[in-house]
Amino acid sequence: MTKCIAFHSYKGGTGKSTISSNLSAALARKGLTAVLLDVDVYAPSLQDYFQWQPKKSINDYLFENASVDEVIHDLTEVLSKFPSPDGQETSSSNGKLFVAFSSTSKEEIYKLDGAVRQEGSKIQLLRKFLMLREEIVSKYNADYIIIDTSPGIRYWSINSLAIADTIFLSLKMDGIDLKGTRLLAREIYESLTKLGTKSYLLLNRAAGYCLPSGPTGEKTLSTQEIYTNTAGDQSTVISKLNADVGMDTILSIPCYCDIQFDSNEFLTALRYPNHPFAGNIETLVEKLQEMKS
Amino acid sequence: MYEVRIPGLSSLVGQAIANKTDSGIILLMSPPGGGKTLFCRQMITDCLQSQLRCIYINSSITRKEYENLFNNITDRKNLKFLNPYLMSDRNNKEPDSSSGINDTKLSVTLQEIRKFINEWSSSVTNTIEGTDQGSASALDGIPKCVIVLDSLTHMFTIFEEDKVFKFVNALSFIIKELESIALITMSGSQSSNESILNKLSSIFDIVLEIDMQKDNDKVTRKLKLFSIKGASNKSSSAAFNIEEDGSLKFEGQSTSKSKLSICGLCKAPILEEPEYYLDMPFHHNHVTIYMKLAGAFGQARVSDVGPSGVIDAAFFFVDVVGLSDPALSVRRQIEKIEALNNLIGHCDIFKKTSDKRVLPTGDGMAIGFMLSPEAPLQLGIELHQALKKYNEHTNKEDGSFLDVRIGLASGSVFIVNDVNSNQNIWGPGIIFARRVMDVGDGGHIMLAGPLAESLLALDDKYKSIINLLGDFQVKHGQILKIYSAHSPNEFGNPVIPMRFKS
Repeated sequence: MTKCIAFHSYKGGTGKSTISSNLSAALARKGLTAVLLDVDVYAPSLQDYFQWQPKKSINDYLFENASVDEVIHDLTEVLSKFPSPDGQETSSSNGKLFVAFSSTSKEEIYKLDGAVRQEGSKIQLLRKFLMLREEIVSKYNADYIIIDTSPGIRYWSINSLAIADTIFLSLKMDGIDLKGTRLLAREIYESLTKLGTKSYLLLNRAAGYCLPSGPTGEKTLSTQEIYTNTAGDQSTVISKLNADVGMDTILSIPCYCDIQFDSNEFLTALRYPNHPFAGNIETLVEKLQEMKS
Repeated sequence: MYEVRIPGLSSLVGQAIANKTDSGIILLMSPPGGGKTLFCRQMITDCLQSQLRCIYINSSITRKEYENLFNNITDRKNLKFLNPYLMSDRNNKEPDSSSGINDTKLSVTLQEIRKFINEWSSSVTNTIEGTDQGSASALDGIPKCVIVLDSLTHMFTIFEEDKVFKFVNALSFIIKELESIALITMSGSQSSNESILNKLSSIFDIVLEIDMQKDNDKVTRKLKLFSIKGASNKSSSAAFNIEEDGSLKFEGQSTSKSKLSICGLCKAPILEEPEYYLDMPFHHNHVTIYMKLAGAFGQARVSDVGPSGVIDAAFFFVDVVGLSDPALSVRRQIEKIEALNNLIGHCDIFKKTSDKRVLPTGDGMAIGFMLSPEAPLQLGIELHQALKKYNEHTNKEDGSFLDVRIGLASGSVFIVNDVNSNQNIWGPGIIFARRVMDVGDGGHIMLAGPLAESLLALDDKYKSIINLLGDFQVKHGQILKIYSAHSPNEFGNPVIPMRFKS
């Protein structure tokens, strides 16, 4: 049975695209079929991330200019670029990685935004969106559909959340994001979880990876103290947030500066299987498998 | 309320004609094992569900076998079983001279049929009188009695041929008197039954045949329409399966009894059993999504995806020119409607567009395209090209020439519940398409101003084919700007419409 997971957030830049892409690739590496959908229709990033220029996009599918087979791209070959965890050059698994991209064309984004503002065409687009999920389930025999949504409370992010079985609400640990997350939980998630959707917090860029250095590079007692206090505060904030929003934290990913500032970050979980980030993604995969069973 | 339901007929002739087929005699031929007895069972089951009365005549089964056959029907008070072969002559010492049947068993069978009908009629009449209903109008509501004879072939083996012919003839008169419907089955095909068909051809209004193909262990069955009201029909067929419970499932239908509902979320037809939420039908997997969206957007804001939504669409309206001409036989009329349906069904744009609504109008249809304003004109062009080929084999003298007029418009329509509680569409968009179509003559593709102007703004290619005719006052004094689409020797009609000239 296909599980549909949506990555959502209140603000942009919380790592939805990076984590959803790495997760999809890791699932495929495990021998599963993962279909990654870029539904961040206003600021699509997966074309750039996968360095892939599709002839047809999800926008084409929604406007009936393309079939599902034209918009779902088989990127399984990408996995072979990375060493498999057992040290082999390529993976021998039968997993599949499919990706459907949103259009990056300004005109297409305007067109979709305009159509959503008309009540008549809005429902037709929603209908096509529902069909997209159903066609992926029936034609691609997907184990997982992973949706990278638009942040905030927007038409396509709500639709994505509505068709998902599980939602990962990713957030950074800053004040605005925390407030926004509480808002989302109250306004949107409550009604979804009542109807069976499982929702979890996914903390990104949390404290816990590197110990800050002093101005001269040495790790002083004071920086150690600041760090300890920050980590302690964060732990308290998370506990309170969990209680406030009624959601458990499925994963807390520390702020990895090497990823954060790597302009060429691409499937780190596969590229550097020994990186702690790969371990985080592996944990997420395991938790998903536990949920499914 | 009392609908006669003939399994698969709507797939063969369209819902509009199937709904009107509520009287006459149907012949169903089938090879052994084709499923003709189960076809009879399905028809009786469906008719009983529509509160009709049924008489099942079968000379080859016992009462116990009959009870097993209809074990799906718990209340059989409206179903009677007659086996002419087992019919005792205690009810009627002498053969029925009025019917000319010189056979006691067959005469008694006819007597029993009349007796059942009289009993049912009097019970209904008594009920109506007892409730002080207005008699004339109430009597119009008396349920029909459907007679199913399964099978004629077996009767020929136990009764003399001419007596069976007379029996069928007498039966046909009963059906005519009642304005009801009878289904008669025969083993074999049209060619193997040719001599019998020649003798009884005038009796049958509809001739159907089950075609059975075996491919290894797989059996495929098709219901074919040979003729309707004497008009031959070569192309109509509908594939069906026999389910484990003995019911017939035609392709594209969940069950033959199902009523088409439109999903409250995606607005697509529901082929399976719908699920209901707030009295709205939904696809099984769409109820929760609807509830989630209503919870997220708010019930009021999600109402546009509910049953009273407004849809913006581009419409294609078509009708057959001269279909109501009294000189044209009903047979020709049906041929033309079917030909139009077939031609439209084969147009690429029609096939590839899933977001559309099709409303049969009797002598044509209205099609709403939800997303593409270009689709109606493209369909008009494709239809004209298909008609050109079709009419190479027709001529105007014998009335077979198929001429249509087309109207295109865009606008809003409401989703409304019709008398059968099915969701339908109605509104300015569809009305304008009808109005502009009415302005044209045969061969015209007429466009309402707003749609034509949006197409002209969309693509330069339309500038050479969409031509302004001017303003025209349509019904209720409304003035519409009218355009005509045509291209020499390809589609459309360059001549100014007669109504425009006048």
